[in-house]
Amino acid sequence: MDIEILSRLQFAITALYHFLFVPLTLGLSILLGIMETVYVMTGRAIWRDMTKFWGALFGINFAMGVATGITMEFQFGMNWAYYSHYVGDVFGAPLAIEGMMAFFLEATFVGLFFFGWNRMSKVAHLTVTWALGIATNLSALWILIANGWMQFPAGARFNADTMRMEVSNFMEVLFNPVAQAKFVHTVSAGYVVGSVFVLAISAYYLLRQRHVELARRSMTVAASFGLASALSVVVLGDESGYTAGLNQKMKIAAIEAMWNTEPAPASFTVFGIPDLKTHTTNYEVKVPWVLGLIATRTADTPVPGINNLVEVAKQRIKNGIVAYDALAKLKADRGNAALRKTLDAHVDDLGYALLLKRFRPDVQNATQAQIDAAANSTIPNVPALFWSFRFMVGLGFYFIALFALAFYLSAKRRLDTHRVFLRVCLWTLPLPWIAAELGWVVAEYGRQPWVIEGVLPTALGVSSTAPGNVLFSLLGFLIFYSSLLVADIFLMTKYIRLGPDGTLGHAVAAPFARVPAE
Amino acid sequence: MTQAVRRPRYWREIAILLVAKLLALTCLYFLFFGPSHRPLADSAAVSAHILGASHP
Repeated sequence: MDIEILSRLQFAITALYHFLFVPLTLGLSILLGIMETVYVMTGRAIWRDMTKFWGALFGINFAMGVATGITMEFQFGMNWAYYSHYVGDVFGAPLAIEGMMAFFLEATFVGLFFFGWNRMSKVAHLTVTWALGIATNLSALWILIANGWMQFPAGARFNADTMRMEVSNFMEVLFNPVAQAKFVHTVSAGYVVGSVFVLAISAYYLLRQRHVELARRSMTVAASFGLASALSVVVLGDESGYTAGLNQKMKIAAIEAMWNTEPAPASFTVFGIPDLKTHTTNYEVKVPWVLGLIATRTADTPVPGINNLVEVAKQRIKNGIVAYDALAKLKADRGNAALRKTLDAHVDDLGYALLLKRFRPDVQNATQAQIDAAANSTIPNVPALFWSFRFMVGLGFYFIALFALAFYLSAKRRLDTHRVFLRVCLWTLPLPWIAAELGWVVAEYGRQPWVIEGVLPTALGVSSTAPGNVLFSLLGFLIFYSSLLVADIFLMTKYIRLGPDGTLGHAVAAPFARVPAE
Repeated sequence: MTQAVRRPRYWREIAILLVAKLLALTCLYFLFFGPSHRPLADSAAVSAHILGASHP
């Protein structure tokens, strides 16, 4: 395997693994805040015990999340050195702020949450718990601002002297519409993961008639918060689709396996078998208008198809060659104003010329066949995106139905009498993780062949190191992460089986027992 | 009495742990992150990478 594939594989494995822990941390942090708020408002000790029990599981997950996240920061420097130089001026700031949010703010409140129970007043501890939730979400905000910029590189321009992208408007980077849409969609997905986790473990207790009072209350919280979150995921996912429709047209066309532009408004393909060789989708089942309304929010704007976008890419590659040629000559004649003007006029397409580097080193002399091949390389893996998206959306609607039913049964106080429903809740446990990982695949795999959309092809961001080094560290990560996975499953299973009594070291308080006022 | 006995033991364990961590980090630094492992990626290197060796 070459260095690009190995580096991508290493980052994908570590990111997907890290993303097993992140959404649960996001979701549980808010659920802890809700549970402790009820405790402070009612003074009932069972809500304090609920906060402590779910907090213990949160703690195990948080530790794993931190351990698995650190390695990715190092990969930017080691495996992606050219990427780091080329876009570090823009990408570095939100990444650094995210690191500080996670390791300073979030970690501080985690410490206060666990060790502050008997050292702070109820209200002070509640403030800490909410601060923990806010810090966790702020940490996600900054990493998604960095990631959003990779999808839609706003607020930056190329500097020919330093050979890198530099910030021209930080507010545009900060309020990047793609990043904002991704942030709210991702954290809502995290809330769904947290809610399903609480719902499933509580269902496990109710099925075994253990910790019934705690489990029933936990399920009620998870059902109501989960329903609101699952609805938000779908609504905010629509916003994410709309921003992608504006800025990542190829990704949308690939998700839909839409090879040719359809008359507006475009229809949504519910089912189909995309054929990469013939550029057709067989056995299509379509719903009229839906894609056009989602992607453009109008009835008269067409959604461009893959083949049409390839034609656009060919023209942009030709423009990019002009920019590339001007840049190469400018390096030998730095004071030449005419070359600088030519570069400035075509710099938006410079990244497209860089796609040719895969086919020949002297981009300026590319043949039409090579331009065609480079334009075709802008098509991501259509079947993978098509199916990942459909499974993710299908699971999203399933969660809405599950939480709606749980909410109804909870309101009727009949949660623990429906054993089939409790079993369904328990077996749903892995599904939100699958949905979250599929969402990540759609977002990041759908960005290929770009590491920064339209600016830098992935192949050019990779360090010039020996493939053996990356392979060695990849194997190291696989061993290390597999050990962490075993430790995580062991600890989670142990404390879930122990239950609240065993975890807290005392019997859970009776449902209406109150903690004396301070 | 028990507390007084326990406290020095905790300090000793914490000290051993910190030293072990420091050693592990030092090993990791020299094995993977030291200057000899760092790929050069300044403006000249990126120019050469993108435009070719004749354009530093």
